[in-house]
Amino acid sequence: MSRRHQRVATRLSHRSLLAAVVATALLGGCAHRGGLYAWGGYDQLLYQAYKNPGDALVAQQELQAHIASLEASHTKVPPGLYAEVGTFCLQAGDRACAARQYEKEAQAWPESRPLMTTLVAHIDRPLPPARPASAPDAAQPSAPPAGPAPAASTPSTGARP
Amino acid sequence: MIRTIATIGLLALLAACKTPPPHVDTTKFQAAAPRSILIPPPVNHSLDVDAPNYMLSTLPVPLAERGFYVIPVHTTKVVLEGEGLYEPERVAEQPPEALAKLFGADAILYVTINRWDAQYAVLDTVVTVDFNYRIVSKTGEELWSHHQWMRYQPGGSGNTGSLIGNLVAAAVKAALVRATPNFMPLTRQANDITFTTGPSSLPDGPYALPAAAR
Repeated sequence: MSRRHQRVATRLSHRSLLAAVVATALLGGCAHRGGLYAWGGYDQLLYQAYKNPGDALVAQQELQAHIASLEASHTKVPPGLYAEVGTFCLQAGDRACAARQYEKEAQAWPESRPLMTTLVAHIDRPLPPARPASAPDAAQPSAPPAGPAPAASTPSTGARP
Repeated sequence: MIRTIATIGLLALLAACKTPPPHVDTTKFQAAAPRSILIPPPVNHSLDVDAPNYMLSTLPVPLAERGFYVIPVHTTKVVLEGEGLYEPERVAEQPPEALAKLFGADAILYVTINRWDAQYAVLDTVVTVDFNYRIVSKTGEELWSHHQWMRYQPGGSGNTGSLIGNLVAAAVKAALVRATPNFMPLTRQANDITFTTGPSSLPDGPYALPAAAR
């Protein structure tokens, strides 16, 4: 046992470390075993897309492939997956794809209908520029934004007293 | 080799899997009986600017697995940005009633990241996450809340049955943690305890299987 561990220790490469971390993360979370849905790595793909925005396309394609396989086997597509693919489509500039996916989400999940209907109705609305998650001024990361708030249309709310 | 390391990690993670203790009072939650839950990006009080997005990616699966319709979190984030709400702090300032209405949600899960950090030492890298979770109804009433923190200290746990084995295992684990200070398994564990296995765990949502079928 210990000799095996020593072999492990000497052979650790960066890539295998990463693979192990991912494997551990995938295997972890005991509560997810035998769950309601087949997620197709949704949370991992989302994490990757946030970690490296270039991976958004990978996330979109992987989720689309996963959805296709679920549909082929008449398995329920987990809540939100159609819509997330739709949003990745929207961000990639494919509005027709986005609208199709939002409509599918609305069909699959009645709770999503108010939002999906709004999104489809406003599918031609221009997207705001995405802001990078890691701001260059990492010295004060948790500070509120320095500049004035964007003067975009806020939902008809107003601030809380 | 990968399996060996994964097993070490798994053992550490599985240590948290225990039978749920008695529930805390969830009368308000059950009375409101939300079907859909909106999750705006978490408010960040840690020094890691990536923490909110990473945390966000871990939230929908455990909640949906409890039987709720989780409004898709990435879509939510993009819609909020479309409304000019880039900062989670600004989202949290909005009246929950208005936010719920905008998304057609029955309830909102607000998450605050208090800690998300790694402290380094030779054989002992300590990773800490600390979160506040709060669910508010579409009428603005707080239905449930929970505080959960987790600490991962690779050198301090695990017994392979031999001294050298223990030392090597500790070194391997510390190296693993140092190579990629990985907060995700810890965060998932915190979520699982909070929503599913711990004393704060939520009542079943509308899509949960009947207890008899589990």
